[in-house]
This record gives sequence, C-alpha cells and structure tokens, in this order.
Amino acid sequence: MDDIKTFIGKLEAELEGLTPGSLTPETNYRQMPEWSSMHALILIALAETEYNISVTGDDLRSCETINDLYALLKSRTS
Amino acid sequence: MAIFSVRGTQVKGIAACVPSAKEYNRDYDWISEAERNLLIKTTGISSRHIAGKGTTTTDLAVPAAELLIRSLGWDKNEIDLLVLVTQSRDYFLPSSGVILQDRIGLPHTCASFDIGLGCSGYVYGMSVVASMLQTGGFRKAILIAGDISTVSLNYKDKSAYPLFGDAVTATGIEFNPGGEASDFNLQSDGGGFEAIIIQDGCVRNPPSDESHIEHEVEKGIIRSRKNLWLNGMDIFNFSVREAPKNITALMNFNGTTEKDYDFFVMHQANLLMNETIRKKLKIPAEKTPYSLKDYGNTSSASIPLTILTQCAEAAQQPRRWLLSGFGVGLSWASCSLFTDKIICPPVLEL
Amino acid sequence: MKARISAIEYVLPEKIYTNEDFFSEFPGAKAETLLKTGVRKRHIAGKDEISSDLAFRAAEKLITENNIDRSAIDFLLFNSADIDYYTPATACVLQGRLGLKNSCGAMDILNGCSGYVYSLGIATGIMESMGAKNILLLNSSTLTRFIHPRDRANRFLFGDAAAASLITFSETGAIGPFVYGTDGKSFEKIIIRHGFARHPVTQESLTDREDEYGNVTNDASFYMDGVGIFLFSVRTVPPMINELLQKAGQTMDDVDLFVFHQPNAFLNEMLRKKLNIPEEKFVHCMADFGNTVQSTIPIALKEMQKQGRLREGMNVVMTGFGTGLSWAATLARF
Repeated sequence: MDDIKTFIGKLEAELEGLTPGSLTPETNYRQMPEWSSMHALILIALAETEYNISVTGDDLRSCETINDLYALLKSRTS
Repeated sequence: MAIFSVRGTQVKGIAACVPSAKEYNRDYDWISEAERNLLIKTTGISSRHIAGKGTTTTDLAVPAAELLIRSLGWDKNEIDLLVLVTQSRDYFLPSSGVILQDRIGLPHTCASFDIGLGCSGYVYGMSVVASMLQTGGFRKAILIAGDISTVSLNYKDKSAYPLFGDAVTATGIEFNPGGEASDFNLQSDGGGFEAIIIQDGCVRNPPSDESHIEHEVEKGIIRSRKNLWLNGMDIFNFSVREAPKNITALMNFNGTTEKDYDFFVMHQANLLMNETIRKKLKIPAEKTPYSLKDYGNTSSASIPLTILTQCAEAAQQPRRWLLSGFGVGLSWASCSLFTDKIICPPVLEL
Repeated sequence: MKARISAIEYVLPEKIYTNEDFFSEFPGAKAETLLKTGVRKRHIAGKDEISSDLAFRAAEKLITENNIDRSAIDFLLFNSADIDYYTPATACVLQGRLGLKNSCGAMDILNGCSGYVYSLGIATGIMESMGAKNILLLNSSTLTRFIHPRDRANRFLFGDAAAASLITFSETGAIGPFVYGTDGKSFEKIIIRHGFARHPVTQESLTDREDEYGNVTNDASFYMDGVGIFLFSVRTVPPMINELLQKAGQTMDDVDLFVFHQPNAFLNEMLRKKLNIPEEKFVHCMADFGNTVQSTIPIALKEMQKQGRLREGMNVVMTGFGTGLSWAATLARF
C-alpha cells in the first residue's frame, strides 16, 4: 500500500478539476463543492485498479476525511 | 453449470439499426457544464441515438434483420430459428419474436421465441442459439438483440439519462459441425434485482397514479416509479467484482490466456467501469474496443454493435473473441468465439 | 446425452370460481355451448398473487417433495407472459428468491401456449450441448388478471396455475425430436394490445367493446378470436403430429399417451378424432383447471402420473399451440 502522500497524489490525478495540493489528509472530501456521485465512482475505480480493493457506496458514506478513507483501504490490504 | 462448451457455432454476419435522431451529452443542460464535462469524460459517452415516440424494438429489428439477410445472401426459407433478446417487446402476448417471423418474411417452419434479458442478453442468447444449433437440427439462425431503453428514462435523472441509447442488432449464425468450440460462462444473482429496475408498469406493480409521481432521490436525480432506476454504485461494485472473475474462470476452463484473444468486447456500460474491468484483467487497451462515444449503453445490442462499428475490418480475417455482458438481473455471462469472417454492413439509421 | 422430465409439481391459487358461480353471475350465458368446453371450475389468482409468486410456490413444492439439492440446479427457465417488471428478468428475481447458486443461469422465455414445449426444446439444448445436469423449468400464468370482467367466454375458459418441472440428465430418458411452427401474420388473434412497448395503457385503452356474443373487452385486456383459433388449431395440429412422428420414425401405435395443450375439450376431442387417437391414449385435463396457458401440459402430465395413466418408460407426445401464433410438438420417454 502506498503511503498517504502517494495515495493523495494518485487521487488528485484521477479527480480532475481539483487544484493540485488542495487535498490534505484532513480534507472532508464529501463536503467539497465539486464532489459528486461521479467522483465516488472514480474513487471506487481507483481502489479497484490501483490497490485491488473493493469499496462500496456504504464504505464511502462511513468515511469523512481522506484520512478515514486511507485507513479503510489500508485495513483491507492483505 | 456455469461453464460449458458448445461446438459448431459460426457467426457469419452482424447488422444493426439505430434511430437517426441523436442527443448530445454536451447539450444536457440539466447539470452544470463542469459536471457535464466530467460526465462525458468518465462515461465516455458523447452522443446517443434516441427512438421517437411509438417506435419499438421490432421496428428497428426488421430493417436490421433484412439488411443482415441481404448482406449474407441467405435464402429466407433456410432460416429455421429466430431468437429475440429484449426487455422491450411489443406486447405481454404474443411474443415479439413470433411477430418478427412474419415481418421479416421467414417461413412458418421457423421456430421463434423471446428471451427477456438486458446487458447479459447477447451472450445468453448466443448460448441458446449455439446449443439449439448443435442439438436441435437447426441450420441457420438469427439472433436479434436490443432495446428501446430511452423511453423509460427521466430527463432529470443525471445518473441514467445521459447513459442510454437505442439500438437493435441482428446476428446471423450458422451451424458448422466441424467448427471450433465456443465456451460459455453464465451466471445470475437475483438478490440484486433492484439494482437496475423499472418498478411500475408491469405485473408486480401495475401502473397507477403514483407511478408518475416524480421523487428527488438525491440532488440531480429525479425519477418516478415508471422510470428506469439505476443504483450506479451497486452496479459498479458488482460489475468490477464479478465480470473479471467470470472471464478468468472461463479462460481457466478452456486453458486460454489474454494473449489467445484478438478482442475483448464488453457490454458497453460506461468507460470508467469498463476500464476498471480491463485493468483488473490486464488486457491491453487496443484489444478492448468501445462504441460508447457515439451510441452510449445500448443494452443487449452493445456487444454486437461494438464489433460492427469498431472491428468491422479486423473481422474480415479469422479472429478469436471474448465477449462479456454484465448488469441488470443481476445477470452476467461471457463467451469465447472463433470467427472466420463476419460480414459487417454499415449501421443502418432509421 | 439425454434429457428427461424427472419430476413435476403444480400449484393453484386458493380462490375457486365454479360453473355455479359463473352462471349466477351471468344468468343469460349460453350454458350448452360453454359446457362443451369441459371446464367445471378454475382457480383465480388474487390481485397481489402474480405469476412469479405461483412459480415460486411450485418450485418450492418441487424442491421439497423431491428432496432436490438447490445447489445442484444449473439453470432456471421461467416461462410466462406476465412477468414482474419490464426489467430485470423475472427468472433472475426467482433465482434469488429460491436461493439458487450464482453460477445458475437464468432467463425468461416469453412464449404462451407453445411455451412448455419450447421450454423443453431450449432445456434439452442446454442440457445436451452444455452438459447441464439439472434444469428447473417454471411455467406460470395469471392471465385472468387481464381478462375483462364482462368477457364471459374467456372468464369461463381460463384459469391460473404454475407448474415446476425438473429436467435432469439421464441415460434412459429422451426428449425430442421437436417440430416448431410460427405464424406471426396472425399475431392479433390472441393479444393484449396495450401495456407493453407498442402502446402504453392510456385512458383510451379502457374503452370497452362488445362482440356479437355479448363478450366485452378493451385494448388493455386480453382478446382472443375464438373461432379463428379454433380453425387454426384444427388445421395446424394434426399435420404437426404427423410430421413429428415421421421425424421420429414412429407411428401412432408407438405412442403410449398424447398430452395436448388444453384450450378446450371440444376442440381437443375434434383433434383426437381427426388423428384417430384411441380415447384411452388421449388426455383431457381441463375440468378442474380451465386453460392455464403455459401450465396445461405439465399439470396434465402430473395428473396422469397420479392416476397411473402415465408410467415410467412410456412414450408421450406433447404439443402446445396458440398465441403467436406459435406451435410446437415433441416426444418424451418418461
């Protein structure tokens, strides 16, 4: 599993339209004005292809910040 | 059951008919321009063909089948099997496949019936045609697959409206006793039946006044119970989990690897989802054609429409294909096919 | 490789509509003509009891009575005209409700009166070419929901039911050959005009029409050209049976039992005479059920098993004919 900095870098690359560096571990991504269901799908796709981890809609709803998300992914890394 | 092998299935030709009217997702002013651009980029869908009011699946099926028969130079009297895969047939009864027998001008000896499936329907339909050709004494079959889906969409549902297009395809299939085997892997999970559904209008929930009431499910997603409901997240999770497993199991069964196939033609759901599946399977991009840009998600027509529009030239040589359909049901299926030469007349616009 | 119908169960809705009920509702109805159809009573599904519910019950009964291992079922075929939703497929919904495995194939086959024989043809193909070991075939109809309350003839004729058949791989069994036929030009002879893709149900769909015999229907309801279908059946069925026997290299004497679709006893009796089938080899089985569309043949098979008229090793001709127009026939060794 990547460290959180690399993870954020990959996330920013996928979620276009975000200013690079705008995401931090503390960012509450679901409160961002640009956030939409499309971004949620992009996130799920990233987890599948980069880390081979399945993330559901419920998982995303249980997370608030990038940190939470990272912790979730990490907990599922085998 | 799952995985099995059928001998002698020879796909000889594919034709398609779409409505000429188009809609462009860049014009989809229900959502902001930024959101529109993101949508076009992630779904890979720029435009879609939309049937006019009153046009049904059989109306597109007849010209598609006629074009196919003409292009193949088949004698209509030799066609002894017609299978229609659709979720938008004309009537509760009779079957629409039966109506097509007459409208296409096939003989009374032609067996015809409808199979009701969506995204997985082409592969399922192919498996039924293949097995009936092998065991039922049939010689020439036409598999018609497609839907008019757009009639069930709500313009104010950004999660579904910009995704779907209308198309109907006709595939000509012959029995060749010495031909190679086709392998199939069919699956289903009715536990997820509500992930893609039209709640009202049929027999479980007959149409009522409530069927037409629009609900705001979330921001930008307004639907009534007679509209198509799509739980994008569930479908996404399901597809990226199950489709690769299904394809891998098929390749393990017949001892093939990615390298043995010229093309992986997937049901055209949306680019993000299909690319996730492709990457998980480590299939090179050039082996994975898309017709999403100009046609969107065309239900059971999407696989043959993709072969026809993206691989017509390549299909003039012997090719090995892996086809995979996944979605509504939940139902999913894949198959391997070997073709000698597929006649591919240009898509007909009606 | 061989396929065999190894078990059949059927279920009926609770509500019964007898001839006494009918004639007290329609005192002016012509009893003499109607009674010739051979129906005494029929079962009518409740408002919230739809085809897939009956099919579910039939499947559960089949599984329980025969100790079938659910995980051994490779394929589910649901044959009905009145499906749950436009999408998804009802077979998928039933796969989930019945707790069948995810590697079980599932699809809806939408043919009507010819549906049982068509389903057998598809099941046989799946079994023989794909090596499926157990196929669960569900045939179900709750057509009465589409019959206009004042459509006397059809209310007399039709009943609701579902049947579940287990098709298994067997060295000793055999289903086939098959003869199929289609006449789509006559699709309007049996039809529900509005309610699917061709035409939604609108206010205009509910405009009632009355025929010369006093039967009322409308475009959202079931319609049947009874006389036309009668003539079609008389013209089509006998040559189809002869063609089937020829294809199988058999004669009438080789057949132990003839189980036809049961649209009405008067018609079937005429078909029997035209084909010179001895009475003891011919099955009439509609007195207690009426015309149950896709389920008539499996119900008749089960009834004959119960009565001892259908026994292991017997050679049985089955034929279905009607809406489409579509017809099909086959032979099966039990």
